[in-house]
Amino acid sequence: MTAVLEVNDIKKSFGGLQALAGCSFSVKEGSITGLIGPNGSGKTTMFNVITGYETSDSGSVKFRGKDVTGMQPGGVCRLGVGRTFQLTRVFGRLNLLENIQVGSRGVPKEKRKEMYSLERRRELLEFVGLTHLAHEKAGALSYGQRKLVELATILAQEPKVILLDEPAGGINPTLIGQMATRIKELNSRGVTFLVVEHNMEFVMGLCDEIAVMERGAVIAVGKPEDIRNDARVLDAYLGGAVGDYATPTTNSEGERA
Amino acid sequence: MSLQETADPLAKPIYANLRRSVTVVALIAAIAFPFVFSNPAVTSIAMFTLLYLGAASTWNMFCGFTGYMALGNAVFYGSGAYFFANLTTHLNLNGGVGLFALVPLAGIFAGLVALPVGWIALRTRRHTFVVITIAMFFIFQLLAYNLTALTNGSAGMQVPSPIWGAKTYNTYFYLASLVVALIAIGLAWLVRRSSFGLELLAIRDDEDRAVGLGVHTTKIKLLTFVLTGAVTGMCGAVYAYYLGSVYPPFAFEAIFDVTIALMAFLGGLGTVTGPIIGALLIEPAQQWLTLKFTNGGIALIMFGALFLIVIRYMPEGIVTSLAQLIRKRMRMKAPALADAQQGASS
Repeated sequence: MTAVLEVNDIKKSFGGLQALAGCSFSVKEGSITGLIGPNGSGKTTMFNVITGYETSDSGSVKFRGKDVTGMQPGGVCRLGVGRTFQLTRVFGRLNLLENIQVGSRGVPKEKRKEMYSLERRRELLEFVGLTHLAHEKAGALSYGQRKLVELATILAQEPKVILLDEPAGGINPTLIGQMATRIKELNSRGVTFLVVEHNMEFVMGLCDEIAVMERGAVIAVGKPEDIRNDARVLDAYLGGAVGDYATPTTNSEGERA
Repeated sequence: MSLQETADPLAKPIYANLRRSVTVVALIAAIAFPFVFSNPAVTSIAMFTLLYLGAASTWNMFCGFTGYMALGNAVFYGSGAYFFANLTTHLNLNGGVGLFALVPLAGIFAGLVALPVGWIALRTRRHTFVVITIAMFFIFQLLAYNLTALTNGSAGMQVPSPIWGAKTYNTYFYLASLVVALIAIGLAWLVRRSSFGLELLAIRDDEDRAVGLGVHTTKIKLLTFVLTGAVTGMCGAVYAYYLGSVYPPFAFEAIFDVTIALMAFLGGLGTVTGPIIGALLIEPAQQWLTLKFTNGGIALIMFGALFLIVIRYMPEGIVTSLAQLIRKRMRMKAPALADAQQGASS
């Protein structure tokens, strides 16, 4: 399998805090890849760098062999990379059909009409199980439902890769199961996923491959069962000084070289 | 399926028909108004109401839809007024109905002014944007006082007087204001119905996410800002012609900015009908108050109090609150829908 997304030696600092310290990994085409790691290990920053919400200090991101480093979020989206947010972002005062419609600029003009027809948008709402709320304002929905709206909005653009930032975070167990089913179904249709998630049961059951991040770098990559038994991973989660994550690292670059 | 169709009561055909009827009746009433009520005191108030209605509608088309609160639209009002005065003066034109043909030109000019103003101001967001637009307003007012070659400074400029008789004096201005107001409403309506309008509303809710979905936010914000500037400029030109003169404090008036914002807030920010209702309520009231309490101070104080009350107790405005009420009523009538909403998924 070829890599659809290649992240190479990405570094990113916020003031004295090094969020990404030479992070490298790749996502295989057609896979569901998990990106796990303790809080503050740089997972969301990595997502932001890939999707253009943050610019990296150095390193490169390639999507299907094309260098997308430093590209604007809209540009990355038009290439076929969709993402959701850790703190779910929907257009609160627009109804669900309108929420989906907003993404129509992210697809080629000639396909826009067909991809954003009313039937198609209804289909997507049906896919995430929210048809009955089609005319409700997204802001009136529960957190879990909003996550599904966010997903439906992304799906409408038919991206090749979808980055999910904690899809199971803060939602009830029924919806978690539903979310996993939807992800697998889409994956079987050829969509690649990169998933950040803290719910280990969810990640282990869903992913083909897992990359583990710690202090801004990927420390292990492998199958779920290998990761589960990897000493470095256990150490990252359970061992080490917990306090380390709370204080800014000043010279982590040297340590990690 | 029937469940989905009832989900949005306002989308039901019965409401669409009602809306259409109301629109037609209102339009006929608006056209007939100056011929029924010919008292100049009344038609003058009506004319100002329409001018402000136009300015408030177009202000809302940008600010209400995108959530960028501009408090400097008087820049375009004044620009339109001065452009009109300059054109008539330098071309030595005589007053007549034909001069109304220059109003669209004033609109284009104001739109051109809005381009650099918007380009600069729209680099910022939220509070900074508000402050920048207020600063722009004061810069333009200062320019009006000091660029004497273009504005004749504080001495002001004269605009040719209309040649038609006193009896129909207000009628032409009223009709011209009506046309400008209809342009403003029509534009807002078209934008609201389009995908483009949806993107403006998306900017209001979460601009960065809209960017991430591929919306060209900078482009559509600037375009809408320029359209708003153009329509406001047209209002300014009609105003200049009506007054017969243009002075810096009247062309670039701070109260103008607050008034149109208040109209949109009271009626319903981000809706097409909101500013219409707001303008119909506020402008006549303000004119009446000013007449009633000739030392204008009291009117202004009451005006400020109203602004505070609206923001505090009705931040969504009349139209939005009413729509929510109707929705709630409809929901009570359709318990099946309420049940459906309880379940998280199908």
